[in-house]
Amino acid sequence: MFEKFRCTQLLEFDACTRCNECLEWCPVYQEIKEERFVPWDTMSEEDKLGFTPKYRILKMREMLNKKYGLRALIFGPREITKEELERYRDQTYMCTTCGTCRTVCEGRLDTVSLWETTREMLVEEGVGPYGKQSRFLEILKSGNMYEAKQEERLCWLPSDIEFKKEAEVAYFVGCTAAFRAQKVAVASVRVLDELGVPFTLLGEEELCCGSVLMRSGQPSPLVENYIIKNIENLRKRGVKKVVFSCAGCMKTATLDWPKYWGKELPFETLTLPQYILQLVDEGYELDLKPVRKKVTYHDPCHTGRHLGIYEPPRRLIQMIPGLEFVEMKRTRELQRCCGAGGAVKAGIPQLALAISKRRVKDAIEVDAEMLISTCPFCRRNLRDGIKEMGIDMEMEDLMVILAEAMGLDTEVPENPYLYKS
Amino acid sequence: MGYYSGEELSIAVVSSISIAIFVFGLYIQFRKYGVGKADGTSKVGAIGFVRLILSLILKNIKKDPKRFVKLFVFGILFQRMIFRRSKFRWVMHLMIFWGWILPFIFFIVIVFFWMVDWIYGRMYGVEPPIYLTPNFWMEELETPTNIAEYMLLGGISVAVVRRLISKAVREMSDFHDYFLTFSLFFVVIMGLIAELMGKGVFGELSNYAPQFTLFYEITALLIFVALVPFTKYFHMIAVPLVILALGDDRDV
Repeated sequence: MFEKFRCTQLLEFDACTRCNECLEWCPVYQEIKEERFVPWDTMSEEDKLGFTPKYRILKMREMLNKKYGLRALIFGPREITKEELERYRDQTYMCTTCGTCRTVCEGRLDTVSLWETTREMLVEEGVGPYGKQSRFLEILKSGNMYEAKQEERLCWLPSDIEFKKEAEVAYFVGCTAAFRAQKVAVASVRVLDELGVPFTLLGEEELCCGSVLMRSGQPSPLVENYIIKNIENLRKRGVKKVVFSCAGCMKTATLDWPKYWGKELPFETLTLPQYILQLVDEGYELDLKPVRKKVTYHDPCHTGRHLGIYEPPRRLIQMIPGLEFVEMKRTRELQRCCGAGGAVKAGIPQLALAISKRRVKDAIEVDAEMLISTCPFCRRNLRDGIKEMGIDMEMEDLMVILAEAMGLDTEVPENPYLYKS
Repeated sequence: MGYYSGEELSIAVVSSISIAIFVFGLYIQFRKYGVGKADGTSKVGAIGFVRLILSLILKNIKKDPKRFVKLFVFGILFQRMIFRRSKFRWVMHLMIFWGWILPFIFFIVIVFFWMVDWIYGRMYGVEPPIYLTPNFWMEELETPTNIAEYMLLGGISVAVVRRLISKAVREMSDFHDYFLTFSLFFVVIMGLIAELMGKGVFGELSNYAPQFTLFYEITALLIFVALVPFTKYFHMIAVPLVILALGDDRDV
């Protein structure tokens, strides 16, 4: 049962100092504590605490000791009941894996990795994943997480945009930008085209990066297959730099793909803001028109806390004339998660919505007219939050804002997924 | 090898038992971690775990020695992560940490010279030079030990008071937290009483100072050494191991 964990991870469960710092910052616990989201029919205060990083660590330690502790050695291992595991599954899957607990952990535990391996263990034990997440594997057989037709991967591509068959730069679109947030994809290719960058797209050969399965504890041979195919397809096209508009894909490609590839990737991975700033630093001058708005920036967990990319999007925002940029109270490594990550948006949408509304409130606090981010998944969830709150605030991806400042047309051509986008 | 008093012998015996329990506890823990994976192999056992930890630490030293030293000094010795979260808790924790760790190091030094004394006597049939005897080191280390113990007393008193006056802290504490805090407080207070008894502060009761001191020393050994692997005290071993083995890509 515990064989899924690395030895060092099992040690980490004993290294929790019970400082309670994670309780102060966990976005899920905050919603549960204040009963904006109630996971079980009856919830005692103790039940609520069960959803915090600290108590999840302590529960895992307890289960580990039941099997391998001193008492188990003397009197034999004790049973871990199915009911116990099912409760633990709820506690473990109601986590966005945002990693704030990792940032504030005084014992410097790598909690995100602990949660993901715990989920793998629960899947292996037959109690995970949670709700709709159990369909992920079936859905992904289509090649993407929306069960869309692979041959329609580029249905959003404006007819006047040309991409190369082979190029040093590839834009990895990602499932969400291809089928649900197409404006982001359009804006991204428009910007690359305007910058005169010869780029390639994988088109129908682009397969899901594997993020949803990995985050939900289901890293199957299918994921491995997709990852290897993506890497090989990029290599075949002579790609040296892969640019991402999706924070989830970027994190997965940067941190997880090399594990499956078994060595260093044959290309560099960059977020679009990072790549554009590289060009600017090399002397490219952006011709930007003023955009008169008061904006704030939401760091996606995947590129922020998980990869440490904080400055490039801010630099780019500040380069756009007319934009009044204000920071929210919680930014960078202590940013508040939008609520969509860790497969929560698909598995527990009410929780994702509750957290997103809190993040929108952070933006309201600083009187922002627009929330900007660099992740189509954050964009979707924060838009849902704004809609639910019925307020007059815009949420847009930085690429869309940049394209508009560059005077580019970001209209998405007619396609079967346009109404979902 | 000289003759030991009954008190010294008792301490030597309890020390040996405490160390044996400590080592056995470590084995239980390491065996537990050995259930996991190391280099793709599952269930590597206690030895496999130790091997893995050592190899990871060595790898991190080789990878970036400067960063490793920084991680050790700021991450472990000065616990900067706590400093970042709360200055108050950092002061409290450092007082407890150093107040505990220094006497522990001194204890190891004294045990070492006990062994030197014993081996020297066996080998040469005479008493070793004074600086190789445990008594010499016990006297030398008395003042630093006292300072460390006052630090510990200060730190642990703050921890106790926090739990008494703060509802939030109380609510977030469980048996393990209370055991750690109050057992530490109990031992430290015993140490203080033993010291004051030795100075005759308690009148006639002070006649029992040697017995009380022995009782204190045995309790301290059992709690501060033998129980470490079985209680929350173990985080003092687990956290440094995690930090040094994982290397930690975050800012130190």
